[in-house]
Amino acid sequence: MSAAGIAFRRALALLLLAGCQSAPAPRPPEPAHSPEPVASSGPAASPEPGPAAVGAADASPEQVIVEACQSCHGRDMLSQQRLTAAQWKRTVEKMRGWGAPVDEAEVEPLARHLATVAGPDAGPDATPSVPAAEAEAALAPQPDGPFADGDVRLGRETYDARCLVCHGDGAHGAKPGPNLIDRPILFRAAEFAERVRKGTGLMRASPDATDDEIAGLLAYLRGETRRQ
Amino acid sequence: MKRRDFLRASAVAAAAAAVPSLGGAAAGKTSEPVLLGHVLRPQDLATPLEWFDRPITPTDVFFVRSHFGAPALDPHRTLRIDGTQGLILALPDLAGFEKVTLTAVLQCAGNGRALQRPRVPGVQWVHGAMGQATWTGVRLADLLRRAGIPPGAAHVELAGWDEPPMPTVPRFLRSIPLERALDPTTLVAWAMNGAPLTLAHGAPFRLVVPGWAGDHWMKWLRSVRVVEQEARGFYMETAYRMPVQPVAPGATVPAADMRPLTVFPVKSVVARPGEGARLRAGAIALAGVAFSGAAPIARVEVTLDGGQTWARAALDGPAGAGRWQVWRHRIAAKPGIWRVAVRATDAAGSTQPRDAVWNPSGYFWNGWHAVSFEVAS
Repeated sequence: MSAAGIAFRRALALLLLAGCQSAPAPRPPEPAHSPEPVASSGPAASPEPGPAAVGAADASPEQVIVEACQSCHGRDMLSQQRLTAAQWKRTVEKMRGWGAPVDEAEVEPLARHLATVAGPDAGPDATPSVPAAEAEAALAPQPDGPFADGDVRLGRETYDARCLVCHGDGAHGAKPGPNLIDRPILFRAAEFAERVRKGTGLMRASPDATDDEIAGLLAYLRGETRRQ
Repeated sequence: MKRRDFLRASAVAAAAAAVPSLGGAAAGKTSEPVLLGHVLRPQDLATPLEWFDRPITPTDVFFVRSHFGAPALDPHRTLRIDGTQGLILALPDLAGFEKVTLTAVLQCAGNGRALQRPRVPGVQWVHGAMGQATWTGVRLADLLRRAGIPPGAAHVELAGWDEPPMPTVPRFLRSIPLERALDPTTLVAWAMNGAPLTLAHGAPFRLVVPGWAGDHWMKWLRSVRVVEQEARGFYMETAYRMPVQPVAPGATVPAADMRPLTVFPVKSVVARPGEGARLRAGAIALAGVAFSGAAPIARVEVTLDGGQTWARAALDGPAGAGRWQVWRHRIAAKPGIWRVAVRATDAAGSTQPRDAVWNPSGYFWNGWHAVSFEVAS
């Protein structure tokens, strides 16, 4: 993965900023792993990012957690651990191997930080109580409401413009956006719309997304199938 | 600077989007049933200990373990059985096979991981990654025989419909030996506690492998392939493995000295009284459950003096490998602080150790469980 983690996340952030400030960007000619097409507007996102140390100063361990870990699982997965820095380093390396966008230079600071906030001496972990009904409701399908009967073509265009750069071609997940195919949230339209409009973690908010665009996204993503 | 602003803005948005009502200590004070939320996304939810005083764990408080989270709810999903003929089955097609209902414990291999010292990575389950339910379905053996078992077959590879978050993350894939797949207790189940499986528990189909750890009970079952070799991949070759011989706590174990875990060991817990309970002097009822994946429970014993003397508890309900019985014991306790510990022994002669054997991923913790309570004067 080399120095791709920081450089990738930085390029992505610039791209998303560009997306916030204007109409949806055209579909990039390259997949998400190449930041080059969107970097042409500014020197900060040069495809040759230079020494990783530049980025290392840019990303605190807490930022790395938000950007690189929480796309796939909640922070609670980290907070409940009680691991030494050496154990954390092995865990982070495992996750990097699975595609977590963590740069090599970020591994040590991240492992040291985690060993402080979730180390052997961090004290007891308070596991929250979750009402059973809420846990079940969190996965349950809901009515589509204003997002019913979406236009697949508009959905595809919206996906390409707003989502593809992070979630990948076919929406099977790419760095850093997780898989969107066959997920319960595709049948929880209101929650899906809120996620799109408010953003989460590294995912930017798209407050301007229209009901038709969101309905289209749902129609498009529901129609896509898994790889195999 | 712009990147910073972006990140700050998105952190605020993330905080705003967080589910506000899932953190509540308040939730525990109401009478509504709760789970313990180890991970909320994807869901890793534990059953509170107090539920382990009865034969059947209600579905709504039954623990949930996710590798990647559930797929979308779709009762029309099909199950593919590969063989010399091959089968593709939807839910109504299972009506053509004999229906079987059995009672069995489902326990995550990592249940009790948080009690291991030194600590190890993984979901920090304490006692709640287990439960007992009735499971209704058809025998996997019947499906395999209809599909045709090819000569040379020795293992059965299991895949679910759940998708990893990125293509670079290994799929959750397991295999079980053909012999275990053909065991008449191995089921493809569609119902749990008399109702269709919920999405969190694997709808529309899941595997049921009584006596074996939960990683074999594949949820959202999608395909069953009869193969010659054990499955490959992270979840067979790295995860869900135990040292062949006991190792020192904290030891690094060479990969060649690890093998896949299968049958869970003998175990028991104290459900009542709860930790820190304050009780009135007089007759005090102790209760919990005991089980072993290998054999029926032979006896359960209770100690109030740290293991110097033991009293035998009564056992309720049918005995069997891979199913739990409720144990009960009454004591007449004088005022003071008491600490009760429990240990079980199965019919194969295995007894719980005072301290569980440490292993690198913290599987199969089965030390004596103890709770302290106060008897008021």
